[in-house]
Amino acid sequence: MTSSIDGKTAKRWPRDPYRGLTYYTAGDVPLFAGRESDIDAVCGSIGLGNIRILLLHGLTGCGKSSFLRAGLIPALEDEIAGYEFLRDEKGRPDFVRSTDDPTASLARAIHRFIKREYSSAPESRRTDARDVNGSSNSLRYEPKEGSATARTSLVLDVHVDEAEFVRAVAVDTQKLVRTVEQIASQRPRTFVLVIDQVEEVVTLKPDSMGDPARIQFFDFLADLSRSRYDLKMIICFRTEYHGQFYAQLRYGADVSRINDYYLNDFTEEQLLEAILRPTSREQVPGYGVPYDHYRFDYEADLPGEIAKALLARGLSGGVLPALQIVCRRWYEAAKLKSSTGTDEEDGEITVPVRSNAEYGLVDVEFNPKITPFTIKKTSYTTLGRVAGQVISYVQSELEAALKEPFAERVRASGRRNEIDGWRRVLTSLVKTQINGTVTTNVIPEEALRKEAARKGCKIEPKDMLLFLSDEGRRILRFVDVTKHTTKEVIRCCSLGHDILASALQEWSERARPESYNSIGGTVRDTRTASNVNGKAYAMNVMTPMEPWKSPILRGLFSVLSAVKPLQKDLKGLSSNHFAQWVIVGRDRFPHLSPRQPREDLRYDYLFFFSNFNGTWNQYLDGFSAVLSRGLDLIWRWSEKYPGSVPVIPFKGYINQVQFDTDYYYNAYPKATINDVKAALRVHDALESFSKSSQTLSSAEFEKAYLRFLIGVLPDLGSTGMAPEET
Amino acid sequence: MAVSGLTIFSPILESDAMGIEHASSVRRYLATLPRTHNSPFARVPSTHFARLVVMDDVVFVGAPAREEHLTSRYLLFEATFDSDLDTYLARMAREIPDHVDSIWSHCVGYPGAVDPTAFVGYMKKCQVEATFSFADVSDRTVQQNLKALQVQSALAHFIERNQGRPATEIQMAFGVLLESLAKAPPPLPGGIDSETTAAENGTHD
Repeated sequence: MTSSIDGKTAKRWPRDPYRGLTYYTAGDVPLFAGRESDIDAVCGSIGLGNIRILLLHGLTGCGKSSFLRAGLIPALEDEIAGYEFLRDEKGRPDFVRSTDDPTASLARAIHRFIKREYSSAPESRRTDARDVNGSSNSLRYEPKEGSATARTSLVLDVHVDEAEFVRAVAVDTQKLVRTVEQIASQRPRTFVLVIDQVEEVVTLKPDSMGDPARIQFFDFLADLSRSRYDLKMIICFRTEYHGQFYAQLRYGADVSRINDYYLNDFTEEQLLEAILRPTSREQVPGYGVPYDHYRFDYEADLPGEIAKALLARGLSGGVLPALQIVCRRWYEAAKLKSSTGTDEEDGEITVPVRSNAEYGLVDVEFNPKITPFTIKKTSYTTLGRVAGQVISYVQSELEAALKEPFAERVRASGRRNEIDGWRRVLTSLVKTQINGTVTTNVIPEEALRKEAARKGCKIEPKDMLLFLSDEGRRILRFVDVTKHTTKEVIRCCSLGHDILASALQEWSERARPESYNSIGGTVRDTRTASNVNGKAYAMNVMTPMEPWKSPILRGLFSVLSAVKPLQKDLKGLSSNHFAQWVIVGRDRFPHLSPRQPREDLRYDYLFFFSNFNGTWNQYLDGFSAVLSRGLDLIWRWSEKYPGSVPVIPFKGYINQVQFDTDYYYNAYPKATINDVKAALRVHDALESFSKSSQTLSSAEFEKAYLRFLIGVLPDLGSTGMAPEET
Repeated sequence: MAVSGLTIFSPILESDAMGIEHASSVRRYLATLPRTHNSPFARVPSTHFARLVVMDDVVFVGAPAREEHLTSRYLLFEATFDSDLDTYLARMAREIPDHVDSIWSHCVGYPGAVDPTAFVGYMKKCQVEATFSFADVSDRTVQQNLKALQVQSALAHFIERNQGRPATEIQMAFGVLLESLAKAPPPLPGGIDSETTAAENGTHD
């Protein structure tokens, strides 16, 4: 057994083959695939003796956190075994979140670390080399052998209040450098610090308000780069800030002690490796065969298709989190289906909502009872492809909240509103950068709670925020931000990942009320162009009708079908290609699954669909003028039908009951129905003329041709698009 | 062959499973779908017309009628086509499975287009019979209509080019016209792109 850096047993398989939005940790090493060459390169780069700072940068979502936790840190700590990363209170590697004041964030993390490790508190984790004189509350500074140049003054007293320490660091960043050096000198291994999302020092306060914190941070880095102690700092940030950071560092830092590494986004090959790793039949040293544990496969070609689709999306927020979300959803759905034997006939596959307890990161024992199953192309298509999966993920987690921990706080009828409300609250954390990139914002928890109250959310905001920030979900993250002026700590929230920001942004754009096709009451002029294709207009009309009237109307329609002369008015209305009336009974809307709620309607609905030429007004004028008797007979059974004459109230009524088409295809958009009829006459005439003219002499042909011309000329007007309306 | 119509209401996955975004996702997808000769429906060449509508709710015409609401949103598919219903739907599943999946995967109980029989079965479960339908030109296929439009256009050009010429030359040219029409590739359904259209609207040669 290898002792894990998380203090857990590492040689056990992780519970889930895919991580969702949460990053890979040390426990996920056997599933972390595709980054071997990057790990080797960074280990080599950071291992150079004189290097103090490593700038680790990549596109958003390229997997920097996972790379560190499941790749680099286990490699440096367990394999090379010469390094030790700063730990948080749970003993996990502490990635100090930058915020707009990274120096203060780091100072706070360091202060807490010292307080835990060097105070006399019995729960503290101690290493062999540290001061074991538990009688004192002070950091006993004992320089390591060979570090005789070390300052001998006691820099930090654990009695110093955190805020006081942060303030002192703000005045003189050297204090932080010296403190870190002292810790480093106390550790038997090379001490490594990680600051994450350092772009926030620029993005959160891009204006001059953020300048003091930026200057301070780069001063601190400059000092640190010159340190003679055995310590390293890894600075993680989005690649687009590399130029800016490097330029700033060049002013004061010793650039010969700074290395950088660009972590590339996953290639198709690496993605395939990540998708397929849990299904692999190859031994993972110390763990066994992944397939023996997870027992599933993909249908042939499907992983390639998924990888291609992921890459084609050009996802803002990275392809890796999207992969984790979608693969986990498909996996869970397929697993559920195989375990419950959901019938194929129903066809509907839903992603199971997991209970809160199931999100624990604790490993579970291998369950040999899992029947092997396959993720099929059908579930891939049924669940929806990559598009929308991220939003669906947020949606399903919000639903999970309403199903389990907070079920009693929201009535069934209010659930949709509650979910919508919380999605809006989350959307308030979306920030669009000047270059159009969508990222997460960091806003005070208090402000987010108020936002939840404004959106009418019923669930206590504090509880919901905690639920969403659960490690397994990671929709939200808590971040402590230090106020630059007073050094007061403000508890803030951000989204768990930038990919959520882009998904929520997309959702809010789609959900804007004006993009909806509200039925009725829309001003005719604003009707969308999607009702029109070429010269044809697609009209949809729906009118409510008392159910007892439907049989009468059906009777009338059967008479109309049987007696052709009665249809002559319709033919007379020359702009009609094709039209149909459909009566849908109040209980006749298709119901396909027990999960689909039943309709509870009082009225039957009469639908009218038509494809006509000309404008909406011309068409309705024609109805009113030519068809009024027939139409009145059909529509008079509908609620509040005013009659087709006079035309103004008639148009008002149709306007009210018409709804817009989202997509309209027309095989011959350039031709009206009259054009088609004319063309058919020409075609038939030409056919008969060509037959009859085959044996004619030249003189006979001339006469026959002339007769033919006279016959077809009226039908030869050329077709084409109507002039643009102005 | 008679022209037929179909009306299909597929309940959209909504409140419990995926919520609002299914309706919006399908709407968004439909908004990006090409509408001319590169439309997926042009690849199901028996389609005269096809429309897709996300129906959010039923209408309310005002008091004294009673206001009521649907519990599901429905994706309405209305099409006019040649051939019988089963053949038409199976052809959709075979010719444009990706598009069909992208559209109906947002609907309750959708089995996927992989198995055309299952797809046809699903669509027929969602079908609502038309109570009365009417077609002005009801006895011609899409191809016949398109061919007629092609012939009409070619003949108009022919007459324009050959006016005033001696009868013998016209007779010969007429033979060439018939031959070229017979050999002409079948016209594309769905019309062509706008640039070509603008040119066609210019002066004829």
